[in-house]
Amino acid sequence: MNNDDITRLIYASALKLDAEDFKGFLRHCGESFRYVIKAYSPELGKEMTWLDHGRKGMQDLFAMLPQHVRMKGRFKRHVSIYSVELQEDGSVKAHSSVLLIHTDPQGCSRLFAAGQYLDVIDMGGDMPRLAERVVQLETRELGPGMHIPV
Amino acid sequence: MTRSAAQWASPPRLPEDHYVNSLVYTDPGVFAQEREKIFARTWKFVCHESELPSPGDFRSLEHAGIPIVVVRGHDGLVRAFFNACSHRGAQLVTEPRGNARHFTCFFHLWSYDGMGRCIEITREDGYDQCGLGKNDCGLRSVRTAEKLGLIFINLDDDAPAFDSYAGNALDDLIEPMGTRPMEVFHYHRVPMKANWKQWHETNMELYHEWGHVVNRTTSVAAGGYHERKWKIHPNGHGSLDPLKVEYENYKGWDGRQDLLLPGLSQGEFRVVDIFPNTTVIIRGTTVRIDTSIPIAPGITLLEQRGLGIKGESAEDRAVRQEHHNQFWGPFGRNLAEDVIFVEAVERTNRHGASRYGIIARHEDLMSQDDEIVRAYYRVWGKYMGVSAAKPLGKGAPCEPLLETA
Repeated sequence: MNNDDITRLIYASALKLDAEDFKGFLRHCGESFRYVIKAYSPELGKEMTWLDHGRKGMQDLFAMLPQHVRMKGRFKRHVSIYSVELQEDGSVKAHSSVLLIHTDPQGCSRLFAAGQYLDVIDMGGDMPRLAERVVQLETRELGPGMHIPV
Repeated sequence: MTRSAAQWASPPRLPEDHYVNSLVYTDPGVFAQEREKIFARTWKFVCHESELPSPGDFRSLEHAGIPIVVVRGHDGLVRAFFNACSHRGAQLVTEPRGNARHFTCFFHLWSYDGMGRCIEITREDGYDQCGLGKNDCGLRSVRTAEKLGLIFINLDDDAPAFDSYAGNALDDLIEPMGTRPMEVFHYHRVPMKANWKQWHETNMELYHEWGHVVNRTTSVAAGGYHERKWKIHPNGHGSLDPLKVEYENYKGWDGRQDLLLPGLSQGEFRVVDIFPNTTVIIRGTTVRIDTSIPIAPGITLLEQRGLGIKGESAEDRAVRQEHHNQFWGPFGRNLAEDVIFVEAVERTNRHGASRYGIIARHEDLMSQDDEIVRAYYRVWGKYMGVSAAKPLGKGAPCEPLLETA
């Protein structure tokens, strides 16, 4: 395992999402990729699942995005990798912090969401690819909401 | 043809109940009156009974500016109280939920039981001289009612009973929500820069479904969409005839033929609007409950819940959650768009760039008829003592000069 490869994968995938290059993002994801967004509700005392898609679900989501009304502006992900651990099966688990910053069309930036990436990375191919990303959000008030991955 | 300033400022040439003056959304005086005349007098949805499954469970919230705690007593009954200590007024409960045998104020340690009775006054003998005792210091009780698992409160001890207030408006929910126990699996809040009524309008004025690609493709394009009719219930409530939504028309979605809630056919959609600001929407397999907490004329905290069947398997819950999340939740394809719509309206209402909202569609009570909105504002007007077209009263100027920020 080369930590630099893992770091490059996580940062490169964040840059692709920042650029809304969704096809590019999916090139960093394996065929059985699963993407989940979770948040804990203190009001219910329960973990909530807010999005849970396989690769096909993500492709469909991205394909429909141009037809949806969305918040104007851009999102930027600030990612800090906390840990990278090789698993017995040869995959890698990576734990990162993510801050999602929204910049409106007038240029005003504000913190939109804080959370963590819990990634499982497949090391079996020609390059490391995301096999699973669970986004554990601390932020639960997300303005209007959004149609794109964190 | 454009309009001159004078033409533009004139009320629409429509019957008075066919338009709304934007001051109903922006005027601080109207907002204060709504708290006093509507929210302090009508039944308000506060939570689902599954949020209080055990004796001692409580939920806290704010209604009409008043902190409220809702608690399931050890006798199993749900009660509500002002969330304020009778001593010096400190908020008793500061968590959104929890379980407590007693509520003890953290300020001077006075305690109350689940029935709101004061059971402990610290060094009580200090009050002997003035004759104050625990019996004088119970919490302010708030009326509660439960229907189909929905818990409502009313701040007015003299208001009509909930069943009389709601009438038959909830009938469409009886089979899907009253046959098997349900539970809330989703809760989130949306701080909106918009007036609370604007949100409730989105659950009545379905003409705006053209703006949602997901609604255009799965609902407006579905057979029978324009044939179903609204039922206008007394007291500002409304419900709409069911529709078979064609979910499979949206890329990647299934038709929702499995896991249907009791009494529903494949993809069936139902909606019930409860005056003043609660809506229950059923989409075949899952339920959304909307309500709002008005903070200021142009600021609203929207609360959204998603419900499934209590005790169902993890697999079934996952499917139901997926169906919920397709439309709703912070990543849903419908919800965010509605927030963006109403905030866009608020931006023009805020300083008078829009003076009137038109609610003049007539379609024989079919889906996109505005009569449901007109009926709502007629009831709003009865509570407020003014019409929504002239919300500052007959003698008062209804149109302010354009303001600058």
